[in-house]
Amino acid sequence: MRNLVVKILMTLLPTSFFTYRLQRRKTPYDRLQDLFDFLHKFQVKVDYENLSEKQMSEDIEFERLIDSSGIQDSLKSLDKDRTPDEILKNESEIIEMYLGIKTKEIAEDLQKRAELYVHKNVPLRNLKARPDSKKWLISLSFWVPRKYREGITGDILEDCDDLRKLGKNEWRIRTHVLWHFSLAVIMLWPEAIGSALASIFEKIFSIKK
Amino acid sequence: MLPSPREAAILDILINGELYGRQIRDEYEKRTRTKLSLGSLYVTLNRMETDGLIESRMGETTTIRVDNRRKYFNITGLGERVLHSFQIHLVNAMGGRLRCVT
Repeated sequence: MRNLVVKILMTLLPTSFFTYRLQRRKTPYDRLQDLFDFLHKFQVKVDYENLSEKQMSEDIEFERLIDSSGIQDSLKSLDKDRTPDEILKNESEIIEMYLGIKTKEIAEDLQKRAELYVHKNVPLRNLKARPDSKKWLISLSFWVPRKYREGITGDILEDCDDLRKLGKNEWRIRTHVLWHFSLAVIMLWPEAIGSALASIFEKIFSIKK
Repeated sequence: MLPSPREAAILDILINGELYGRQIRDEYEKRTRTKLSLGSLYVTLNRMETDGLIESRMGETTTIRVDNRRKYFNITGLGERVLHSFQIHLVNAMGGRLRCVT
């Protein structure tokens, strides 16, 4: 009986509900945005032209990327009295965190943002909303029954990416996310509860046999 | 057992090979020129899977999907038979007029 109650609770309550607060921690994207904000504050002009031409390989390191883009040199020129290491230590811990990031995804994101910044003159500040849709989506995904979560969330993420490629603004993408999630929640919960109840009844009757 | 028009359309889409949710939705919208939300699509797919018309498997993930794997759906033998009987039923109901159109 206890197992049955646990199973009902596990079916009805998404486990990620309890980890919601953990999901709100700073993601690498947030930290990347902080880096850009930091650079923007100091009006660092970075030449990304060469960076965009580089082939991004699987094992590319963020640190190498930073070095090749000349950010460190620019930081050096900010304050001649201090070394880049001192700036990194004193100004913000964030920078140190950045230098530790070594994922291809971040590198690609950096490249995309840099291209927008350089070629379309999109201010870096305006790009702050860019990763938010993904953050929203991951936060919202716990409302979707676990059975469907992977499929629905992944499909909406792909939709968002397509919309972004089409040049839609971030509010349009957010509307898309909210609309599809609302529909998914309305449609899927009754079905999920129904099937959970059906499986419980099935179990009860099979025990009696 | 006859499928609903939406189920029949999905079966017809899946007859060419396995597809995942988003691909099915795009193809459905292209063919029927009607919007279909992912929520209602997944409900329909789940019902069809319970009925044994289709089967599913978890696929690969991509960087865009952030650890959310694709769920691929494929038509079963029963699904094919049901689709075939639906097509015959439709032709009979139309009194053979469908052939004139094609």
